[in-house]
Amino acid sequence: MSSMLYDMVNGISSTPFCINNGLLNFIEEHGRTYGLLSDKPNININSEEMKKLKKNKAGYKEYLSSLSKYELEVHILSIARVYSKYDKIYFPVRLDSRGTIYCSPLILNYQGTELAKALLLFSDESILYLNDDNSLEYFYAYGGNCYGNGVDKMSRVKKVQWVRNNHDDILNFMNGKLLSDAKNKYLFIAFALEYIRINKHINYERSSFIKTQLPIQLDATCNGYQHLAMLSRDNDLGKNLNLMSSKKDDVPNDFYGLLLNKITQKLQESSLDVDDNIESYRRILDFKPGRSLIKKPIMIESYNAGLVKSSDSLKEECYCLNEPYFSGMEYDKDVWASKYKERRYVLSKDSNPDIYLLNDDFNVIIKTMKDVLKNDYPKLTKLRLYLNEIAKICNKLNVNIPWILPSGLHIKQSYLTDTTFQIKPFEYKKNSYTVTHINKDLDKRKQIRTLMPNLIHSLDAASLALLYNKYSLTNKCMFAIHDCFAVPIPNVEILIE
Amino acid sequence: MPANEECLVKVLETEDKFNKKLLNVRMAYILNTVTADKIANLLICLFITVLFSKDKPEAVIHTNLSITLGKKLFNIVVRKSYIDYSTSANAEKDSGILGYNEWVSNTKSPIVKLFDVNKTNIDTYTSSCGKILIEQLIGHDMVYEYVDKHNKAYVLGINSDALNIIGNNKDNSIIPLPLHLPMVEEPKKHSYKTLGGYLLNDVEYRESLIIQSIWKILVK
Repeated sequence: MSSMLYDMVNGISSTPFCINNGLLNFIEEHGRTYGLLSDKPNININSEEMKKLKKNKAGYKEYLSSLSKYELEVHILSIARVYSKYDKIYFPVRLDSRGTIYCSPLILNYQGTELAKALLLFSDESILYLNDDNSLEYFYAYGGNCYGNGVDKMSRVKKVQWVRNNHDDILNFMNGKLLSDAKNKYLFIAFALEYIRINKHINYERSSFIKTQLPIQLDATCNGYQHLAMLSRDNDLGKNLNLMSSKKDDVPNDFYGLLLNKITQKLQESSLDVDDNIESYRRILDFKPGRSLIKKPIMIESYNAGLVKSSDSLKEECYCLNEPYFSGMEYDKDVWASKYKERRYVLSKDSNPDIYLLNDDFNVIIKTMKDVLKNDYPKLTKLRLYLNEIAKICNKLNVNIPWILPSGLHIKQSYLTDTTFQIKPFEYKKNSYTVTHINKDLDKRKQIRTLMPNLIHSLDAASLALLYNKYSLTNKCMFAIHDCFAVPIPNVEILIE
Repeated sequence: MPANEECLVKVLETEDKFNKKLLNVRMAYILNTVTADKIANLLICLFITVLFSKDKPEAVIHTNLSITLGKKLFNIVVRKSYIDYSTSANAEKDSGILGYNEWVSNTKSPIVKLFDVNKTNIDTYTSSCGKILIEQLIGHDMVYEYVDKHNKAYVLGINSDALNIIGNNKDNSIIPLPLHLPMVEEPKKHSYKTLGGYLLNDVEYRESLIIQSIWKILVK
């Protein structure tokens, strides 16, 4: 491993953070009022209701999910409260085999949930000159990103304008007008608290600078595809992924939105043809799949996801009518099974039950998406085939797949096959255990399937190492969540440059 | 040490259980013998037991708990006596170091004799000693005792103040906390030769910089 990686790990691990006490106090005091915190599912574990719920697979899954969400929030807040009295706290990091960084502390860390991220500030203060309009614009644009609802898709100029138009409601964010609709509520409150502080300095204290600790997060657009576009030197794809230089009044391209339009267009064309799937096309066009639905399958397509996995990722975003949720609905398997003979999926619980998708419709959407990508971006397909061929050659030679990253990390991908068997060691107990035996031969299918995602992740990690190497020459405050980088307000320009 | 032990034996054999001064004397002797972290461990263990036995009063009957705790405390004291014996110069000079069980059956140490499990009144001593720990938690408003009609015995419950501190919910107890928490000191630096991160890494345990490989090494 190169010294660049050691420097990066040591540098990021020794970046001090502190708890955003303003936000923590606000959440503890008003969290329930503004609907910021989840309620604990109120079901007694030994009750009849719970027994009934366990029979309803989807309902029980949702119960576990909401319980887990509730507990996670409680633990994040508890840990944050304990650490709130420390000026400096640290998150030691480790690397995986591809060089990707992970925080060792769990639950409360900057790679965790939005709540965990929002509760952390850089401990070291950075000086923000109040006449530094450029940095202030980045800060305002970040506010627009936190709010979401389409503002995050606007140009930087328009985001700044949105913040100026909503100046009073941001200062008085407790009126709930913006907060109720904000996409990232915790991050938006953290932004609003900093906005109030900066505004106070500008208008009342007349100081020329302010010390700031708020991290500004900058996300990459469809990072997996960005790497693929660069590897395949696909200029058109690169343009759609905002890889070309842009001005502050340029509207950033929305790759997911663009692909969604193309997929819808293709579905419309296909619905006019005489085809076995004609009913399926009609149902999909009535359903009108949105950007949020299609986002995940597009994203995992760059990681070589198959048809089943992509279809499942679509289904996860939908609500299955055959398995109603536990809340307020009496579940009788036979009644529901007779009502809907095939599994029907709607967008949400409140959606019109007559506008639905069937199991096969999801496969049609995914196949259309794959067709669009194949036809519109042929270089991607070529690259995929090229990588598959490399994996096949290595398989034939029975060697692992090696590559060296610009950060100096030597990677050798070698998945081995394993055999699992069950043992029942005790006569007096029914318990059996699964034992996995690692064989000495390569798992050839896995070697082929995983080369592309592993390569992309490793390139992600290398980009971070190279970026941190340059950035740390002048400044230490930075954290990274794989393809998302966060720096203090005055350093955004430095990071972009 | 032997003088202390003799005093402790005398104190423990005294029947006056309600004399506060006596309790303090007992505590002082035990604290002299048992290190603070061991006492803290036992107190945490006791607290967690009570916390997780909210609906099971039979698991937290005061007398039973004090006997169990007392036995644990005595074991620590006896173990410490054995360690003192095994590290003393005399043991090496004599016919080698005895094993733990052998030493327990042969030793003339009064503290060990006092805790002889064959003694009929052993529970009286252990209960008396364990009670000191329970009283510490009661004294600091962490737990309280009440009469459980079903079991016809004094049982322990978690004090509402203590519940408020930990989130008033046994699901939010300290148990699900992650093993790795943020550090309040700057982490150690990783290098080619040493492992960094948490300060005890490479000292008490080894956690490499690279997370356990997702790929198994191909053996040819």
